[in-house]
Amino acid sequence: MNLNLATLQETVLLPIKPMTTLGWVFLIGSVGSVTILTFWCFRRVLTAPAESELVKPPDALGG
Amino acid sequence: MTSQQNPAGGSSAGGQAWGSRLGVILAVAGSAVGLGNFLRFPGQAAANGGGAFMIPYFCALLLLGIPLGWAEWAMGRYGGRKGFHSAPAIMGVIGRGSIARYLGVMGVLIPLGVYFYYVLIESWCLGYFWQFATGGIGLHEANSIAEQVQESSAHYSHFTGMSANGGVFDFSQGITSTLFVFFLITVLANVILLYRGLSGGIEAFCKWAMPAMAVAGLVVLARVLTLPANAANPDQNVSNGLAYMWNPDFSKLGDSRAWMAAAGQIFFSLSVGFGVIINYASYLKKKDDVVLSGLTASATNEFFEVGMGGLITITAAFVFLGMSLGTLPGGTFGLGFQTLPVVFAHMPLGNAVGALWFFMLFLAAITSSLSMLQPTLAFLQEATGLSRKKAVSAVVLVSLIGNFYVMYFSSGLTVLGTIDDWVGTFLIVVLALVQCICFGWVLGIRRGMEEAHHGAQLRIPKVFWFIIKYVSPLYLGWMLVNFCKDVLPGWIDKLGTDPAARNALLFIAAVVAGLLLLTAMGERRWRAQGLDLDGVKPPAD
Repeated sequence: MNLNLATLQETVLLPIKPMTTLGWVFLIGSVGSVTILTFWCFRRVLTAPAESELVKPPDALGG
Repeated sequence: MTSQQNPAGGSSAGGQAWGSRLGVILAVAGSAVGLGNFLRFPGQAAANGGGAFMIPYFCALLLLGIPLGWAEWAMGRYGGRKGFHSAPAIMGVIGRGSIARYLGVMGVLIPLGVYFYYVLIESWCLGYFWQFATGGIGLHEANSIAEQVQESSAHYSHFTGMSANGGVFDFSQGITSTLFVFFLITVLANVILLYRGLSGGIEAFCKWAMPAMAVAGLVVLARVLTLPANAANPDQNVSNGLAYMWNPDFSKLGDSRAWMAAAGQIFFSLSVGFGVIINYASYLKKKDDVVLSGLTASATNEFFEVGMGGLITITAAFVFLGMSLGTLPGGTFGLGFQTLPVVFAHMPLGNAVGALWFFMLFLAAITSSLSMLQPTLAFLQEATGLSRKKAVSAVVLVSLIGNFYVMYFSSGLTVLGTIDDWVGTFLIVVLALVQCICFGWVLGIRRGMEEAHHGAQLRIPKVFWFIIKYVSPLYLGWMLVNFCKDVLPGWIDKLGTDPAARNALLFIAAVVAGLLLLTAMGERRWRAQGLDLDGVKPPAD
């Protein structure tokens, strides 16, 4: 890898931007929505009627 | 399973079945969750508008990822009810004829071709886990960050063998200084799990590996979010690290490349158009739900990608590297194997956190690689009638040839990159388009949705009928046009100038020829058995 030290030093001097309100909105909205969807789905799956489970026993090296 | 005769011989499914519904969901989610979730996604988001990237990202999830996933689950189960488990046979049934059947060969080629190199990257993760667990990768504390990144890059170059062909066989710095030993362990683990079968191997492993991966991810996430601010520069703190990743830059939304990047990320992350879901779903029964299962697998992938990948990687790197992060090696490999080891070297308990991180990546990778051989195995059994034992041996032999080819010709990772470009990137979009057309237009969207809703515990909103039939194919077509315009010319130029890239494509062409030959053999065999390989009759059940 070619790492240009001069570029690195210039970049280090770039201003650091703090988190904005919209940043928090996108972060919480995105992470929250996928987390809620995942938990909702697993709750539906795990509380599904027992007959939906496959009943065939596992088979290693059948065939 | 259905009592219909199976082309592999014996009972339908060739003696294979899932043990539980949760097991198949975790296996599909395990196939989808990979290195891209933790390394590729954050880099793509940070470079394409930060928080604003989530707008095209969620659009692609709703218009491509989730609907194509549902289509693939439904097609797989439909093909399975006719006794088929391989993508060529199932695509022949759905697409009603030889053209779709031969195009379906991509559904075997993609997972097999990707396995050729993916198992090597998996070995990198195992190797880095071992090295962090036994004291780190040897960065010198007294050096500056730039010097440490150079040390990290040199270590990566030696470990992966990318400095010269055959580099992984250079044991001058110790037997564990290159990936070769870790490759052997990784291949052995894959083969054992494959050999144990669908339920006893893949499913059983994913049922503990996925929760273990979630726990490891949450521990690393907790460590990252509680990191103290950088002592030398207090502005380099967790909050500002999250800002670096999430502050929206809406100007990027006017750039089609951001939309392409978002669609690409969703696509490759969810493993749609990969040939795995269609194979996995073929072992389900008619009354088994595919709608909620498909959505759950997609949601799980998103949880790991957005909920963990979106919070861990860039944030941790920012606290220690600050704005210099933008100049350091990016992309999946650069961020994961060159930049992050420097971050761990600076972090309190860094070796432990690094070991846990790379262990999590290894689990993410092995749950994906396991899914890549199963479609080839099912295809070989169906096309030739080989027993599972013999078919496993043949698949392992072919995959080892591919692995050694990619591993030996490691200079600049050109061979790996070429196969990833053509098979792991381009063909996925092509196969997804073929599947989308077969499901929405040849089988018909009404019949396809009826099929998807057998045993469903969730109704697919009717708007998705319109999306799958019209929007998804147009979206995929737009992706392909952009791809051919912006990316393909560069790849073709490379084939003309780089013999390693050309040879890699010839190697893949030889694999394609073999798969086409097997498809022709299978076609004759299935016809002789009286199977409905052109999908003209309804399933027996």
